[in-house]
Amino acid sequence: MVALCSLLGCRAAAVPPGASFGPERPQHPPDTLVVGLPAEPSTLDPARCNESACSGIVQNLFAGLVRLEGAELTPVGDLAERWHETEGGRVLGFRLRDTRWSDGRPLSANDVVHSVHRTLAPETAAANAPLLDVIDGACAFRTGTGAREAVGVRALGPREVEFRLRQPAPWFLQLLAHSAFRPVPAHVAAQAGAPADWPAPGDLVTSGPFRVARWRFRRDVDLVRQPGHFWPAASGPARVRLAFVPQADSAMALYEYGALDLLGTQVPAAWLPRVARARDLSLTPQLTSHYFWLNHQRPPLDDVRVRQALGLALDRQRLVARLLRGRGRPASTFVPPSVGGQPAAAAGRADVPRARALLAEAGFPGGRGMRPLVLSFNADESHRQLAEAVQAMWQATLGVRVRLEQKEWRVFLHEMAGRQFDIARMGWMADYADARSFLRDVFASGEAGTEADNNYSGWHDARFDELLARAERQDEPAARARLFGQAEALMLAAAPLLPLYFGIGQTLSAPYVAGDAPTPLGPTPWHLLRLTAPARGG
Amino acid sequence: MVVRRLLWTLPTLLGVVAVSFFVVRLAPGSPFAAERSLPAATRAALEHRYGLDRPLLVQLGSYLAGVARGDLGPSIRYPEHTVASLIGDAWPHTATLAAAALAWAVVLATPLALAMALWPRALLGRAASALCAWSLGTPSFVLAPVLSLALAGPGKLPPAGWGEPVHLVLPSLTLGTVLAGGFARVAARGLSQALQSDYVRLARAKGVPPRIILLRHAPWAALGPLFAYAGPSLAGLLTGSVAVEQIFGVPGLGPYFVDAAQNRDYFLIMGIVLVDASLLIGANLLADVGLLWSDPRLSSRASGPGGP
Repeated sequence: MVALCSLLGCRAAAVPPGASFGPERPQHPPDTLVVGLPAEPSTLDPARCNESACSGIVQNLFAGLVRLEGAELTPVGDLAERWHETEGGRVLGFRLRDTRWSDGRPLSANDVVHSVHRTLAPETAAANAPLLDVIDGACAFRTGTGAREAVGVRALGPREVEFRLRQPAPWFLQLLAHSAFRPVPAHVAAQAGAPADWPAPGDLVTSGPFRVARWRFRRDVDLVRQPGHFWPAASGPARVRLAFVPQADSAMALYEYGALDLLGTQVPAAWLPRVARARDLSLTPQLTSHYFWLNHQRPPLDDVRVRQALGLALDRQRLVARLLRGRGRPASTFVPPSVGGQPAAAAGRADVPRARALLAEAGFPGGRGMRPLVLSFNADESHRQLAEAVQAMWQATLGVRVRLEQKEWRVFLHEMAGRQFDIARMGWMADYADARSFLRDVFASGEAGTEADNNYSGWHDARFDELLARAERQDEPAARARLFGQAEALMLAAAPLLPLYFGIGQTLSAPYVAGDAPTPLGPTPWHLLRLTAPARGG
Repeated sequence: MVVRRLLWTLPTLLGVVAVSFFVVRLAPGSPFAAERSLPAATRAALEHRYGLDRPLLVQLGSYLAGVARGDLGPSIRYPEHTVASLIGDAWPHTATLAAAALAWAVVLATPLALAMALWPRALLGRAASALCAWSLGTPSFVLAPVLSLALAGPGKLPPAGWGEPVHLVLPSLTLGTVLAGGFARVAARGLSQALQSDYVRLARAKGVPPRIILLRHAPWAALGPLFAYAGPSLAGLLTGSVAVEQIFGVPGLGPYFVDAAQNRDYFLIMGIVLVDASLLIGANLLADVGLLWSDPRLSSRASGPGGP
């Protein structure tokens, strides 16, 4: 089916450099921005949203205390007018803007406090609740061992709110922009009763630049601009229509047809040759890491030399150039360089002689005597291509035989959680622009039972944990970065995972859409886009 | 015959529900698994919310009790929606598409069937027969992109979308074309049998013009097998086509069949199974009724020797 659908992609010649793939002028009323929606969001509740399908909408409906601006992701005030730190960064006080919810009620410090409590409350069952653990008492309340009142957030006045942290946390402002921290109206949730209750989409009361006018399930979501808001750009679209297009090839065809102004999903491989040089395609490096987990408890992968040999034999530059065609950057670290990953010399190049020597040392010269390894991945065309290329690479350079196993997503996760794998492909997207979002949030053991277990390899090392703990206490940026760097180097040497590449986000935006500047953490908020009249003959 | 079938409907549905309930739970993987895993306590809270922490038989019992009250349960994947509302929202779109597809199928099948029945040996009849074979052998997921390639694009039909009549063309044409081959073959066979039957020979002998025979007498004989064939096809249309609805962005029932299973959205899977099974049983029942109505010989046989 994939191959046949891809026919659609190769029906025409490549778009010449600088020309546009979609129509030059809007095919619909120019005050409406039409955005392709690849998946139906499971919820628009900021607390329970844990997928890009909903976070992309939530950030346009609910404002955070801060938002992140530009490629550097600088925190700037959003709901917060200003803030100050005391007690060496352990306490942060925020002054809220004088602003209102979409139903006209003022947005108060109580809403902020209520929302933190609501995200943490066990009955809300928010997937992202552990992100709030940096707040004093949050983990205890979330896991049922502490009181709601002991959580370190309180209203000091109608527009003054104070956060008390477990320790000084330089990344906390970054984190505040995350959807899990975005305030929801206390008066609406309170009416609904239990914290987990959430109003129907039409009754959503929002604080962001848009509110939901209509949500036709698996069809479209219509958003309208909120009047009288404090947002900087007053010239954004008056309405946004999210058109549900589950099939990637259909989405491309719809964009070309002129029915979509903006499409933020990965361009299917078959379409890439056509649109690669079109002016409507923009590429943005993302804080996403793709890698293979190695099961270090299963022979022969229990020998670190075998794991290292597999890593050294990978020619990431070739993999990326051949398979991804510009959709990724070769990775020799797990943490992207922009947030502190420190690539070794000759990043991404293979060192086959050393790989062979290590394998021979481990007792498998030329791969002899080693059982075939199983490389599993969830069903996806690009994952399959990558797996096949790596299979051929390891066979050719090391003589290691690899069997590929494609799994349905939930079966894959189930087997990963049960450590029933040899080698498995995974990806991780940062929640905030910090090395901590990779190293600690994936590898930390934390207080037993309170953390999500994202460390599918089960690899642990006391020195690694010690370095992370020291980084946690350190708030001097250079020293902190050094500690994370040392921890990562230690982890990479033990090779519980093999980095492959860092993601590059692709966006198609029509020539008449101005202001599209996605950040490494996500798409441009829609109110910052402008629909312009195109130049004649352009 | 019809009454006996009606009586069997309930136990059949019950069996289908019970079997699929256990089959669904046998599949490895949790509805709450995601890229980033949940803390154990959060997962437990979610399982408790949906009653998944109770013994399976208790869950089945409470599910059946809910169904009896008309409550198909919540959607786990879409917590702000119930299964009944999801199916209720999607069903009219699938039904609209099915009606349009059926219309296409009839329009396309009629000339093919006539050509095959009247001139089976001539070039026209052979060409029609070849077209039927092509239609029967082409799955909708192949035809959909091919038709899209040919008919959609800038200045032509929209490649996907829903809401305006123009959006209906490609998906219904795809489904209609796939159905037309089978329809034409069954109808042609019925027609040619009828043309050789005693009552048509009698009509011919009485001097009834061939046009009248073809239009008034023979079609009744062709209808019977057509009903028998159309029943399950109609049920297939009404449960929605996974590929066609996905490719053309029709907000119908079809994609739930796959999505719900992949998401382990237990209650939604059960709801879809229930609806699909009911439609299949209902459509077959309708086909039987149609068969009886079109061929009085069957009903006199069915009422048996004890009948009046």
